[in-house]
Amino acid sequence: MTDSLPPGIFIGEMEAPFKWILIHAARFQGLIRVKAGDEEGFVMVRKGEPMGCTFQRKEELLKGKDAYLHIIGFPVVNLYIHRYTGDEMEAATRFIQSSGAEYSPSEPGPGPQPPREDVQIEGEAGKKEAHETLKAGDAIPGQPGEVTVLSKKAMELTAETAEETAVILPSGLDTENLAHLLLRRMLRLPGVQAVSIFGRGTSVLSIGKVELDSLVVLAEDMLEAAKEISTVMHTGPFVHLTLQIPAGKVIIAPYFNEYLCILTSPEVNLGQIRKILKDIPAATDAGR
Amino acid sequence: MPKNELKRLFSLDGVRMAIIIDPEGGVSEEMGAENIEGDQLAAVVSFVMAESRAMATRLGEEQISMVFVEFRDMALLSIPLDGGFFLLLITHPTANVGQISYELKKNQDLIGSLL
Repeated sequence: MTDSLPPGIFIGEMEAPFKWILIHAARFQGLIRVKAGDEEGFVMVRKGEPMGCTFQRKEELLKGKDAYLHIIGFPVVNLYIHRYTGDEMEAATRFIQSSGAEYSPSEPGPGPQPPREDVQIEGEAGKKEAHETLKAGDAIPGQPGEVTVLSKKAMELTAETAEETAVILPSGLDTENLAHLLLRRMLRLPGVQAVSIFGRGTSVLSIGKVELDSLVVLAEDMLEAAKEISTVMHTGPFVHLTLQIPAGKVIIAPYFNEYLCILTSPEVNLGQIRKILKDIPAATDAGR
Repeated sequence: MPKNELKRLFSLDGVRMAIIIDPEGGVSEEMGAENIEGDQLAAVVSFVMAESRAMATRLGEEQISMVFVEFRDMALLSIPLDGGFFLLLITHPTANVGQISYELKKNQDLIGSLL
């Protein structure tokens, strides 16, 4: 059935509970193909919400809500993620509507599902630890291309516990771990006092000697003002903003779909900070 | 008016435009880049400087030393002058920002005193 859908841009694959990927796909639009053993299906997603699903369960083709409930009943599935453009999204939506596979997020939610008892991935389901049946690894990405579920017993995963489980993205990056690593790396530089990741006026993650949460609203105001420059001349994308004051510097730079705010003393080496900023992978590398 | 000083900054490698912005957000002096609408740019940059000043105040500082905004295709350096004026330089992205900001700060007091 997926043959009739736009292929999109393949951005990676992983093993995870399906609900986990939705939680981390707030800005994603596209198609997620789902495989569980010999069975497979797909979920079309817009901004973290399912829009349509099908799932081939043996001889039976499940559609819409039935398919979705079936998919989220698996503790872990193989996911193949394809990003769509706006046009592809429209084409896929038309196909979903014509095939009766629509699943509206406004329909009553299924709520947390218990793990399926009939599912066996590999080995002795429910008994062996996850790292024996899945690709094991540490919290820090070490093997690009692999996906690691870190929980002790993947077979015991429910949708709720899955939300707390770290999963390494196909590029080898776990965005949460990456954020912590990056912030700590910056904080180790001489002169860096505090670092925060922020978006929409709120601090997402903040570390350092100075409390930055109350500064991010001002940082966002500066950022929005700076972006206005692009309305009066050709500038290209925003790279960074540095405010120098006698006591130090405030640096604002893009970080995936959010921004970094870095507070430093005057003696900071800006070259080192810019080097780290340049090392931040493009958002697409991490599937966002 | 500090035309000579502005000309000196404008002649630095990588500088595309030099503007002095008055406290009302208008152009006081302008040099270079004919394809850039100086008045509109001055108004927008005034807004950036105002927001930057708010941040500086929040951090317990009354003074901004410099604001540097980098885009892929260009960069802006702005420093405050006396009397609420600003000096703005627009540079190529590959310009030597270290050297330009040094020259900018070196001429800051002189330009300010001539306004």
